[in-house]
Amino acid sequence: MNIKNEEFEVNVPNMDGTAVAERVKVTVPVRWDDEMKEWLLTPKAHQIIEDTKARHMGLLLPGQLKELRHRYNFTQEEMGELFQIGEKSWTRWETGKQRPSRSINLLIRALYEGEISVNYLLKRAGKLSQVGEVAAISTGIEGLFVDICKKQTAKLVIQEAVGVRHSQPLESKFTAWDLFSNAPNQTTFCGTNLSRIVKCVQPIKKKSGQRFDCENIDIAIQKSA
Amino acid sequence: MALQEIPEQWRKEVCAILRSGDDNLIEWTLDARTKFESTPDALWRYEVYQPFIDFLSSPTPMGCHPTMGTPPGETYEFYFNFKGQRLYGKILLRTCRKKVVIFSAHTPRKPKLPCE
Repeated sequence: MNIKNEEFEVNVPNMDGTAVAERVKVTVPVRWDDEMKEWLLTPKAHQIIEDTKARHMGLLLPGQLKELRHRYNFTQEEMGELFQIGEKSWTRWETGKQRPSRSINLLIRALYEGEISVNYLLKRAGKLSQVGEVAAISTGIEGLFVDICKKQTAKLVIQEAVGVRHSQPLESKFTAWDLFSNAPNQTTFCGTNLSRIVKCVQPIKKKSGQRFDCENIDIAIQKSA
Repeated sequence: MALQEIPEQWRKEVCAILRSGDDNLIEWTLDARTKFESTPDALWRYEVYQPFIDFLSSPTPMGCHPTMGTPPGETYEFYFNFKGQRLYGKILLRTCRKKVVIFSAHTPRKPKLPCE
């Protein structure tokens, strides 16, 4: 296949989109089509052009959106719910098929850069607050631990809490990230050694991607209940 | 060659491909993409696919069917509406009828289509 690199000038619009704010030169791969007798842009060329434009407009790139979703261990559908957008919008943004608008990008970037918390968005999306104990999540996992350990219905509380938060049972979503980042001083979880839970979660999470089961966590809940 | 209604079969096949949004099925010439980039309000390439579909799905979309000097496949050129402005479009449906090549999607250079 005959491919060469060609210079392409990307027009970056100003804030209100009424004029070109900046012109950026990029090099894109084009391929010669014998049938057409024309140089055609490769899919990679489109990606380079539009990623350049997005970056100069301050939009998060598809890879950054994916990274953000993985940070919270959410599905694409859950990200859609979090930002209250159409069911497939997040998927389209993450694949680069489409781009977020500047306004929604502001909110996503705020989360990406840690300026707002995911719990705030969950609350606004109605995913956090119906259950009394769920409030503990917004003050950190450590608070939740303390709270549920005092109750006889620990299992129920945890499942409700995480169910509201993630629409998934606890064992699907609770990660070592949650434990370490939110409860650095926590050493036991309702009488179960926390380090044992952490060891369990990480490898299993990596193996099976979005959904995973963790027997140790389940055992821990059973003991506490 | 006169202005004519763009055949329904061609329109159906082209719209189905445009709806896919797939860069492997929707190809752009370098010239087309360069001119699209200079078109006012043209931000992302996929934004032009729906206006193409809207025009081609209208009751009697009219266009020209150039035959001289065109590559294999079936080509139509037409004017269509994009974000409130009139653009010139030229699309080729390849002989395999599974891919399209966008030859033009930009501000018209001439007041009339070649066959008008």
